[in-house]
Amino acid sequence: MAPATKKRRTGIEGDCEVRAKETIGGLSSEEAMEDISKEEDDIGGRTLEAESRAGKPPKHPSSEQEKAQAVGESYESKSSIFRMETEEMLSEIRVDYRKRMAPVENMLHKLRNIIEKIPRKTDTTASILSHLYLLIDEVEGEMQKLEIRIPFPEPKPGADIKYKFSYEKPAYMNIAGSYALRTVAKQREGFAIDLILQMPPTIFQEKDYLNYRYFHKRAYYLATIASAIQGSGLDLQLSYSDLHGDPLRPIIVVAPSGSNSETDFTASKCLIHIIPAISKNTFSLSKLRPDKNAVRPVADTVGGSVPPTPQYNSSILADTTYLGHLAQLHEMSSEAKAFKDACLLGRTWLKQRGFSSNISRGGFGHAEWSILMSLLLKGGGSKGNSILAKGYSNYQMFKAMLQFLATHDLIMNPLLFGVELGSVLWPKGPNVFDGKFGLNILFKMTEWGYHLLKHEAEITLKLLGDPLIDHFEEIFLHRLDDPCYKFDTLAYIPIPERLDKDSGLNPLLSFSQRLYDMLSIGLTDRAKLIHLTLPSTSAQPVRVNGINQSIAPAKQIIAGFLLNAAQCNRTVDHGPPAGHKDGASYRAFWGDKAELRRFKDGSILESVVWCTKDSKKSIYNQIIQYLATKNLGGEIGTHVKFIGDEYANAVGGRGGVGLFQPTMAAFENLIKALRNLEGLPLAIRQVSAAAPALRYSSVEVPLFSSGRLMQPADVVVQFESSGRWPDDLIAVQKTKIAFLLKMSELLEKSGTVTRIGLENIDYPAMNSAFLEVVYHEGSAFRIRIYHDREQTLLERQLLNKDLPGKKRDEITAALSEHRRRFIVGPLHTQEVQKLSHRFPALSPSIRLLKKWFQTHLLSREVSDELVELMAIRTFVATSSPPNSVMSGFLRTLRFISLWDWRSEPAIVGAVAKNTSETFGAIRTSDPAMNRYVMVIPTEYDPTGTTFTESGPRKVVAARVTSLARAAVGASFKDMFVSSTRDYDFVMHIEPKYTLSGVRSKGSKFKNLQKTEITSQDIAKLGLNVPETFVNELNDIYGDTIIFFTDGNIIAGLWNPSSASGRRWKVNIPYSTIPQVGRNDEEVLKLNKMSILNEISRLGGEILAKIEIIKK
Amino acid sequence: MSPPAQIASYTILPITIPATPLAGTATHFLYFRKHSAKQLAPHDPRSLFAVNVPIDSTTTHFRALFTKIGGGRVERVIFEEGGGARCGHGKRKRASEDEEVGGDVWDRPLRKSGSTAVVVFVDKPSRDMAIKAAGKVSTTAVVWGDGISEVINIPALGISRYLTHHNLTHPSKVHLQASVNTFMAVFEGEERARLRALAKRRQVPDEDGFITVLRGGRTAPARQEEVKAALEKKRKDKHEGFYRFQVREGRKNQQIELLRKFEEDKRRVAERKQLRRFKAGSGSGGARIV
Repeated sequence: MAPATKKRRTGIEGDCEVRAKETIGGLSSEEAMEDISKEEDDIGGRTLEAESRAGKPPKHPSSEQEKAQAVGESYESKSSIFRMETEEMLSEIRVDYRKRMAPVENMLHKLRNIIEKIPRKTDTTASILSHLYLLIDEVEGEMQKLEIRIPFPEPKPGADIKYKFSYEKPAYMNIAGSYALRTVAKQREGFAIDLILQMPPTIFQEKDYLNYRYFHKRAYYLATIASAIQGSGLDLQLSYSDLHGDPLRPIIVVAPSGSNSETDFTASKCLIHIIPAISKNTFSLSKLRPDKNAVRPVADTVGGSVPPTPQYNSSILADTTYLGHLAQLHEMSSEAKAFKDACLLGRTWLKQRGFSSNISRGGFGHAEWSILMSLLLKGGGSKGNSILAKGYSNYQMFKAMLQFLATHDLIMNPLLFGVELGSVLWPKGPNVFDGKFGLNILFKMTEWGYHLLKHEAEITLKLLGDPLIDHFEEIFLHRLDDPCYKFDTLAYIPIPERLDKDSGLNPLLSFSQRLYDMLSIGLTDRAKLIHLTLPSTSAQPVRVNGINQSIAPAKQIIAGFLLNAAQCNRTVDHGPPAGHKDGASYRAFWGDKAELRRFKDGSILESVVWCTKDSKKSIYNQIIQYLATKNLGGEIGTHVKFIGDEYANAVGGRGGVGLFQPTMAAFENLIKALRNLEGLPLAIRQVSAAAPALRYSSVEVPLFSSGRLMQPADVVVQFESSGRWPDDLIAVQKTKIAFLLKMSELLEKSGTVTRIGLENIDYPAMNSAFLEVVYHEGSAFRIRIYHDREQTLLERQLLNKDLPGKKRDEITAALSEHRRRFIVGPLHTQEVQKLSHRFPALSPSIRLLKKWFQTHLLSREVSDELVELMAIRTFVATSSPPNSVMSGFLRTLRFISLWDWRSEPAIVGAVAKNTSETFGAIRTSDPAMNRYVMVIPTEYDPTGTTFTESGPRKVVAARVTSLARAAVGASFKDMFVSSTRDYDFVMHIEPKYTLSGVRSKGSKFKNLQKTEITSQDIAKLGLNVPETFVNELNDIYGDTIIFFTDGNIIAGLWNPSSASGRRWKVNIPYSTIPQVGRNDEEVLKLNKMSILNEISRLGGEILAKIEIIKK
Repeated sequence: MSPPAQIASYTILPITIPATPLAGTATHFLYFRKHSAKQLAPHDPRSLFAVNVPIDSTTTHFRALFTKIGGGRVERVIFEEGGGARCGHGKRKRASEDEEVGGDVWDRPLRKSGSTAVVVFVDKPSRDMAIKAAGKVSTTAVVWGDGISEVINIPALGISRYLTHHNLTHPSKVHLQASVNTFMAVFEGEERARLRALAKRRQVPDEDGFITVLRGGRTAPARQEEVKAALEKKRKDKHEGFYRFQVREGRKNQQIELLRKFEEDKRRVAERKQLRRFKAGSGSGGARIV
């Protein structure tokens, strides 16, 4: 292998690497060779390794048994399949350097030659001593002539500055960063190769670290290089960009021209970053400690202390670290075998969550990840022990890193390496101080960025610890950086045109810090986490009159909030008591909103009261708006855009479970009434609810307007067991009717209206009757009797092997109906009730989601319970449950869009261990998915099919997925717009006969509407003409047409298998036209016209219009 | 393309369906031939077997239809089981003549699309005449529902049918009570008779002189499930891991199971790889950014 690698190590990159190692002296070239050959091993023998690593058989397994033992060991750690998946993903994202990188290496080589040939800038007229240096006006004149911009950072050098600029050849050039370390990953937007140019110390003076002098000289140096590359005639696109969003440190970004010329490196899918650097001893480290000032105020403050400038100091120091860090990482990757892979994992994890080294995106990217990891491999623990062990596997290392990030508070407890605490305190932000470089390596991280990182690490750690489900995809494969899905509510806060220049080195950053502080104080415990996303800085053209190609980012800060659901809608905030010393500051903060109030317990407190009348805006948004107006000016305050409230408003605001209070009270009354019945042959054991209205999840809030009966809510009554029930299914049903009649008789004595309804007439084994109980305030219930022996009777029938197929189907259907209605249904209702109290956002999220399914005409196929379970899954599956309707709804939609229901169940909460086996059995017995399509197991329904048996079918499930995919990323409005374009025909129900039409009072004049319940209303209770109609259509045409409905329109899709012609057969399940087809064969074609005519005949006046969409 | 006159020995009868306010005129095709069933019924020689009857067919419709084309008199029509609305259970009832009444909760039952019916004529010549006449019918001659006299009152379709259905599903309590009482009386009577018969058979020897052992003897009838549960419990109580070979076998089984699971997992990962699911972020899974 050695000769091969030697050959490979040509080109600039290899060259540079050697030089780097020589100059640093950290690594011998032999080690480097080993390094690379190892890399080859990695790529070549990957499959083998994947297998051996996953199974972990130490030696060649001599026998089956030994192998089994090895497998067993790996299974004990529960992460075997996760590890296999990790290996697969790593192999997928690794870059084939040899194949892909040739063009760019060629280009690097060329750039190197160009840079080496740049002459030193001299001024012949000056004296010997200063002959290297140019004055500011000369410098500007020179570049003006070349039409090259100098990327001076703000504040730009004035015309009167005394110091001089110069250029000398870089002390050395080198590739650093992840490309040198071989830890770049394939990604859509490509990656960057960092080409480090170390500026010679001779062009700087000892005091140049002060007052931006270093950065100005650096900018000139960069401009010189830019002009040389520009002048070389190479076909490239050059631009300046701020390194990691640090405005003090511009770099040159070299992009391929895409012209397909010889030097074009588009194929390598990467950019080259040219980064000027300095050696570690150019400036004194002690002068640049975080507590030192390096930017002297303009006005003379004699004797006064000057504020420290930690950010500025770090920006200089960061330029000294590239090569040092590279050496450190190289060393680590040779010591710890899994280091590089763990870097790749970290890189992927961070990228999917939108973190990068850029200040505006958290300031924690793969560079920081790998440096932090290398530090933790050496130390960081108590008593100088290392936190990570070198022998860890990539997975263990990744997990341990997350553990560290999640549990170690780096703001409160800075992590120090080779330095004492005191002089290196970092204001407001995490601190990992590396004494070797004198730098806080997390200096780019903001307070909020750090909190978010910690939060994400906590979530992932929880997922990794899940003993049952493997969350690999969620951890590595899904993009999770859309703020709408990450946060509970969003506010887009415009950035003022003129930021306060004096407020700091980075005006935007100090503005956002002010905003952050303001929001944290103002929202108190309403928000658990506040995060600000700053606009990223855009690239600048190199040429003076160059066109700026990148789109200027919107001038706004996206503030994302994770709410505290229990507190965020509180109307009163208490401040300090009257006369307390904090009172003044409280008043100053809240302005005229603060008032002194006397409370019930006698205390007199400063307080702020928010209004709930304006139901369009939630209280936290009112606070944000008020504070923005007060502190940032009305211009900004009125332009703050809030995202999130529209979701809550669509389902009746923030009432949550409170909206259902009257219904629940009515149900309590019913229970009381039933329990007080005297004269029943058996005592009532249990009354349980089994309806969406009784678990806070019906779209319509029942009993909301007076004079309107609610849709009857299902209730299950169970009697004390008795041996006197007949042992025959049909007789059981009749006995139930007798019981209902008795109950009805007793209830009517107390003036309650009752009716008995029949159902399942065609299915004698199913429940055949229910009792409707109507109260005059509008509540209505449907009582069914649960007899626990029915299940046994049905199961016993199924054991009979001679049962004819049709009968068997009937019994099976009856059994699942029984389980759904009487056993699982009440349990489900109980669970949803419980969870709705635990998660205030659950109930409105479910209702909005149901509305979504309804809008898209899917609620016929997707049962109420299935929707509820999908939403619940979002709430219980993560350690960070949604706290607003928006996040609850959107995250569930995203889950639906990602759910591969063909190959995996959607597991809700804690389920039995053998869930995946159960699922496997379901799929093996029915691979075509004719019976069970979506499977959603829960604790009380381990098979997960109870609520999905009657739909959605495969076609409809696929439609659900595609609609959810379209909705993810759409605006709120677009999500609720349904198009009938995809259907074959659409029938409109006459408004008079829709559910709401039938229930309305029929009076034309609003003020004449009767508000009491009449006997007419009761007679119409439960009448749902469109539903009955569609059910009947489905019975008649079920094999030919798929019907979709929302109660107002019915859309139909011809089954494609019916649409093609068929040979003669007696029992073709649709109306046909005989035709002579090809080969003189008689074929039968679907008779669409006749069928539509039949439907229209059947519907009669129910239908208002039939539209044929597709011929 | 003109349709064939016959298809696989079935005569094709095109029927014009008049336009409704919402749907245009259509042609429905009825196929029929002489009825021949596996189980012979007395009326077979005078019956036609019809395929693809319209969903709203009634005996009256067929009567009018065959009168119109000049066929014989229809005695009754027996529709296929499993139409839109089924009534009760048991074939006898369905075959009865009062099919117009339908199930208990519908005033007019529907037929499944494409379903069949047996049309019974008053005599054999009537049927043969019908077949002959049907062959001569031109495409537009017969109109569905034409010729039904006003006197015969077929329940209307549309909203009134659904309202009637709603009322029928909420019967009066008096009626319901009466029907339950009747049922229970019959059921109890049958039950008693059955028990008596059983008791009797327990005592009567068969021709070989043996007495059959039957359920429900002196002891209370044991429930199958209970016995099973008891057996299960007994099996569980067995001493496991008492002998060394049991332990060893158990361990071996466990290992085999693990190995199987490992292979299974490997297969699953490979399957996913096939679907190119491991492309981080770029795969199907990625949520798009607005």
